[in-house]
Amino acid sequence: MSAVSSFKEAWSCKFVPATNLLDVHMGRLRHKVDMPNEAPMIHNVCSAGFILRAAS
Amino acid sequence: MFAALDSFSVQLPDFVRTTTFRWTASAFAVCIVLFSAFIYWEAASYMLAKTDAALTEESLAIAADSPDRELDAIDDRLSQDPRRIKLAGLFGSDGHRIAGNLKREPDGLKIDAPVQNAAAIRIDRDGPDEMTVRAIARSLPNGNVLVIARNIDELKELAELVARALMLGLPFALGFGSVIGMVLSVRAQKRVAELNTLVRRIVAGDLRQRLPTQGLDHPFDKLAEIANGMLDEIEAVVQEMAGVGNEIAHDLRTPLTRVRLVLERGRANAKTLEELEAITDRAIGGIDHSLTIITTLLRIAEIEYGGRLSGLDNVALADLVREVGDLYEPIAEDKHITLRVASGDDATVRGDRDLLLEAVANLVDNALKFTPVGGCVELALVRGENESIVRVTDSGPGVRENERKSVTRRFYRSDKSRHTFGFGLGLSLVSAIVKLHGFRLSIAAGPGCVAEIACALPSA
Repeated sequence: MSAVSSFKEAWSCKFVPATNLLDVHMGRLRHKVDMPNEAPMIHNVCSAGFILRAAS
Repeated sequence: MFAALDSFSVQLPDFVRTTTFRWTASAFAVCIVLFSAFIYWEAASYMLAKTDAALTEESLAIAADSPDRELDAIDDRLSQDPRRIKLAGLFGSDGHRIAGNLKREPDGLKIDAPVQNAAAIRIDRDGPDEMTVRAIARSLPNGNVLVIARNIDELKELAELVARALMLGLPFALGFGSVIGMVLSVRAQKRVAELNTLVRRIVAGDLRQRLPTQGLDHPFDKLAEIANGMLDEIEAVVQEMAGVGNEIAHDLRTPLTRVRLVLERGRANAKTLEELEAITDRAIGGIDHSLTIITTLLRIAEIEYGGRLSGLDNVALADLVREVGDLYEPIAEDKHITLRVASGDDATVRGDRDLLLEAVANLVDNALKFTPVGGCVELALVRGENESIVRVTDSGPGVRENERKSVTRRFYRSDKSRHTFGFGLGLSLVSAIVKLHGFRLSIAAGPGCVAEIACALPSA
């Protein structure tokens, strides 16, 4: 899922947010999804966005 | 013949062909003719009324006399007439003349009626003379008829007098009208020529030129004021455009130069795949920065020149303010800034929800950007007079008085914000959105900065 489209979906708005806003929100999400000492489930996909993968 | 007239009119001076000149000269001529006619009509009515009154009076006086004194009275009347305008006659019941200078009773003259026009024949030493008179006839107790009349050739003389005055006055009036018309049209032409010269200079690119005004309540002055207002606006826009061109180039060159340096250094120094990936990520970040600038510029242009709201809807401002608060709360927390949201006044305005969200988000974004760590940003919805105000207050360095207008300009960045990451486009985007909605944006200095969007409430 691309970063921008995920933001638009989540906040139901059309404008493109500043990069830092996306990063902070994604950071928060990671904090909630990926517990410490666990394999991360949210991965960066370079130049595209993010992907949610079940921890193997 | 028309061709001849045309060639004649071509040789006339310019001012003669102006409407001002023609109208002024014609108006003077028409006025003088109408005025003369009015004078004649007034004077003639007055003279006629006086004549009629005198005739009635005289006829009554003579008729009241005893029959033997009537003849004396008629002789008296006729003897005191150096201008030879008085007529009188006493006629028997069979119509024969007893006394006076009337040959016979005028035809069609009604007896014991008011004064009327009649054709009479005067007889005296110069022989019979036919003339138009005002006359009155009275029947006397003994059966005789008394006729008293007066020549009204005086009225003709009056008409001739007025006509003569007109003939003398008309050329003078035409001349005077022409001179005034000439002065007026030459003045107008002079101003048009001045305007023409200035407009040519402006067209040639000298936008500092302004049309002269004389401070009078004159159509030319009003026109000049409107044109000058338009020129102010055009000059500002052209200057902004020229500045924007430079600033776009400058603001795009900085991140692109950085990307180039990063790539160059990475190519030379990267040893492992991880190092290369890190360098590529930094390069992508730089390119994203440049792309965001371009996207935002296009977005401002779309909002400013689109000029029309597409998704017009009822927007609940309290919800919008809360949403922006939720959106920025993590960033505030990250920066250790207290973000207070007070959405007390629940107002609904007509507008595009997405654009308004973007505008408020930009104000909060700016406030968070310029507020130092440990500071405070407040986003509040308050009620003004016929408007609802979205107010963003921060405890940052504030905006100087002389910078308040400039901050909404594209790429304007205060010296204080030189070292803060940003594009200098946020407030011009907000300004464009606010203008499109017909709302009002104000930037004021408090201890920090107070930015307000005053949204007009729809009339009930």
